[in-house]
Amino acid sequence: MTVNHTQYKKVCLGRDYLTQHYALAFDLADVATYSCMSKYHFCRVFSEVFGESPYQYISKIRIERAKELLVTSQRSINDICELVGYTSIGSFSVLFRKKTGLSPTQYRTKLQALANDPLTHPIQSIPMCYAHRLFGAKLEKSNIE
Amino acid sequence: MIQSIAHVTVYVLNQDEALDFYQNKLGFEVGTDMTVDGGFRWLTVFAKAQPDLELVLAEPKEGPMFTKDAADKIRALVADGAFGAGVFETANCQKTYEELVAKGVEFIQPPTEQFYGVEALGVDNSGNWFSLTQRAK
Repeated sequence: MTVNHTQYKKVCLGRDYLTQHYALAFDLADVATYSCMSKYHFCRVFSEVFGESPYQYISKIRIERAKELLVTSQRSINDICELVGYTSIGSFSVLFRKKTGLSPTQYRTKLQALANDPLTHPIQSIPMCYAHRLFGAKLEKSNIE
Repeated sequence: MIQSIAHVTVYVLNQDEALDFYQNKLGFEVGTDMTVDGGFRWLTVFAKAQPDLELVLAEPKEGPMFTKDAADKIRALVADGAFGAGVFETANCQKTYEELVAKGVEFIQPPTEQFYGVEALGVDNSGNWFSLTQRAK
């Protein structure tokens, strides 16, 4: 399937809408209409251009936002679940574990334990080569063997 | 076997201004914008259709990586246009060029036919040039 410039611009409109309203319940038919496309066509072009479905995209955004809030806020897991757009803590936790390998609580505990300052991202959050070269983080022996 | 490229560094003069350019003018999305221990800002952007390749917008500053003299030299080279941010592909060079010009993006070469496609050359707001290319079919 070849996507032309006009289709690309249209599907970007819908994607931008999803990005801006990730925490809200949405009807894909409405998003497609916003993009001046049918629902079927929107999904097809979206997957072709971005390599994932609109549902996969919105899940990714929600989980990334949850990861940020888990590290930089003291909000409860329930609050974060709702803030990023999930109504079921069970579904949220399952998806979170699937994406990160950790439960939300484990993720928070692990990242916060690594950070020197409260509610900040630990240096381990960025690739070690950058951490080392840009501000002198020491390489662990296991990293250089 | 190396399978893909995940991060490429682009040195910029000011991260806030670079973010405005890459996000609001080129239409890139923010991958990560976070301040880690020590106050270092880890800022990455990516093209919407290619989320697995992130540009790290990094300011050359005095620190473990650069002496003050080296950081100053890098900044001067960036401002002088010595570095390029790479080739950005588009399905329609002329249309994208017109859209970017309307947003105030500076170009040093308008869309021009090349044997490999149509290419325009732009400059980001730090001085890095970039190619806007529509591949020949």
